[in-house]
Amino acid sequence: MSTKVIMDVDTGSDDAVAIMCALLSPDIDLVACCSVWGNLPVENTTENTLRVLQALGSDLPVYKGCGDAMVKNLCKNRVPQYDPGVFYDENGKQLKGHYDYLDLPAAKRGPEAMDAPSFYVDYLNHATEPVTLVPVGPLTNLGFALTMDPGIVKNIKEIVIMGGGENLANISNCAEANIWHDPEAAHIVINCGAKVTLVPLDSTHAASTTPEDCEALDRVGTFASRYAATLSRERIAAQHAFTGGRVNSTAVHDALALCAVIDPSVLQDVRHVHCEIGFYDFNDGATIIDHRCIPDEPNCYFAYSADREKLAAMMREILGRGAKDIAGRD
Amino acid sequence: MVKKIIMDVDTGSDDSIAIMAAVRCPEIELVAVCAVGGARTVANTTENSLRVLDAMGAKGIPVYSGCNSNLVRNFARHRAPRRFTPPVIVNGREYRMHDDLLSLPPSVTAPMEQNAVSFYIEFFRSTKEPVTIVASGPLTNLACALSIAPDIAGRIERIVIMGGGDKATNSSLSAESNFWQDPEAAQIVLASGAKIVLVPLDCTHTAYITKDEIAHLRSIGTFEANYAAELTEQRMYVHNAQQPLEVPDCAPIHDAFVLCYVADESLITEMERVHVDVGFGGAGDGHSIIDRNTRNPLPPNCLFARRANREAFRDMLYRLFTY
Repeated sequence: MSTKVIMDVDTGSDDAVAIMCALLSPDIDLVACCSVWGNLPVENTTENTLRVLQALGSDLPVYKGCGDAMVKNLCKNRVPQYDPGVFYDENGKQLKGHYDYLDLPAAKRGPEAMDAPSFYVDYLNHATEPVTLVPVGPLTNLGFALTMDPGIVKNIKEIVIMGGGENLANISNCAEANIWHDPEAAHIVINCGAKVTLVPLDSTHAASTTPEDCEALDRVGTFASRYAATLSRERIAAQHAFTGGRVNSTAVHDALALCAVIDPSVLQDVRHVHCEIGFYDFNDGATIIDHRCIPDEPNCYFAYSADREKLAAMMREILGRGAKDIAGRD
Repeated sequence: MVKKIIMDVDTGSDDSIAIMAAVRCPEIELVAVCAVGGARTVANTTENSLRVLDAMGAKGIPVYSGCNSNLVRNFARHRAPRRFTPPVIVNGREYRMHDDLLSLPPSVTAPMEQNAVSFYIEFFRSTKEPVTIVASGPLTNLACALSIAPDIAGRIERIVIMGGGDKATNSSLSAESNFWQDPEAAQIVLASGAKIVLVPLDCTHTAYITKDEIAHLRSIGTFEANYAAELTEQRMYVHNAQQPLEVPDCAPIHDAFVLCYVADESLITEMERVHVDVGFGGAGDGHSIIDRNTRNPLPPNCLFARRANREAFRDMLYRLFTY
């Protein structure tokens, strides 16, 4: 039986790979995508989400969500974003983890009229079976939806979040980007009462995609596998530059979170922990794990590692189910 | 001309009087009521709003239930908790500023299914008429709507807010209750770019109703006048004991005053165009801070009401509740 899923995305290169996996996996029944700010402004993430769906011939609804954090940016006393610097490839093209628009045909349709938080409240209040939520961007949409109506939890089967990191960080000295962008929203979602699994940097980096994985994806020969290879190569180039040449692979974070819904065993060393979100000073956006001898009640599952080979094999198998060529081209 | 309004309320004693005034006021068309939680649960403020409308026999005014609690204040451990205030005992009876549930029969009308926040977004994206929001509770519903859909800010005719205080406060040394309960929401609404009239305690405290005037209200004899008298008397007992005003034996009816101002703008006699930001945390949590910087002042974001014509307000209540 396939799992009903709603994705919340800031598409985004790795979001695009995750969306393609969700659309093509027979184990996932994707209901809708909600867009949110994060990697890019919400106008871009909405358009990019529509582009990915169109390229795979999907007319799934896209609900446009929030364009800024719930409260973080109301005042100026929060820790600023770490600046990785500006790098260019040999052709003078700037290296980025996420380009403004995915290199796919412009979407021929727009998002739905309803906003994303209203969609969550409306859909979950009327759902006849619990739904799995896979947010892989800042948690703003769900933060608002749960503020509007905490009762929607009754129809959430599970929330699998790409976000956080205990021994790894990527946007400040201690924070991962999705949690850092909207720490208060993350706090609301982690403590909402639903089963929450965090897929943090600790696990996504353990399952990094290498140039060899990209070649293997190319050989699979579908549009989706080749496009995933293209996006991953762009990410590897950026990561290589940002790390001063130390790293020649990329964590395709969001794809791991989505694949964990299909096969939870792709995550390894998953611990039931109590996690608090930092809001101030140097711990802003940090996922702080309670390591005391007697910790507070666990509120989430935290994946400390992942099976790299399994993720690579899953991506080849799932993306191989797609069409040979891009859809929606006139 | 009849003014169309949506009320955002945490009903509440003074909200009840405001709803009754809105329904009775020929210059106002009440399009909808949105309930918000805070000091009372949103289940109770929704039920209370319905009780008032049902008791008046007011039909066809939809009530939408919204957020139960503030955006983020409750989970930040450095924010001051609400101070417990014991009830005031007069003639052996207990009085609070607001009862959790109003002493009216349970409602027979159901609230709307749609969430108040979703209603605001859908309504203001599609309405072609100017509609004013009269907000007299914590600003959580409006903050959610304006954050999720910033495009509606310019489509709201204006937002008239009972909230804040410059030289008058009631929930902490620096803050008024509606702002104090959800400071971030207040800041979001003030910074939204919407046209805002802020009616703070500085103004509503000058629009008090006296003991003699409560007696006059009671002599009118209609349900609305009687119930308004009962609620104002309850408020007077609490003010006398816990929030003494300059004049003894009186009570302001903040939310009703703001509603009446929308129908008759001459009720506010002094306004200031200022920039207001809201303090977060510590002693300044929920403080409505007026920009007094002489060197580099920020552009005004609201009209700040200073003084009320209390006699005109009182006479308006008499008139609205006489029929």
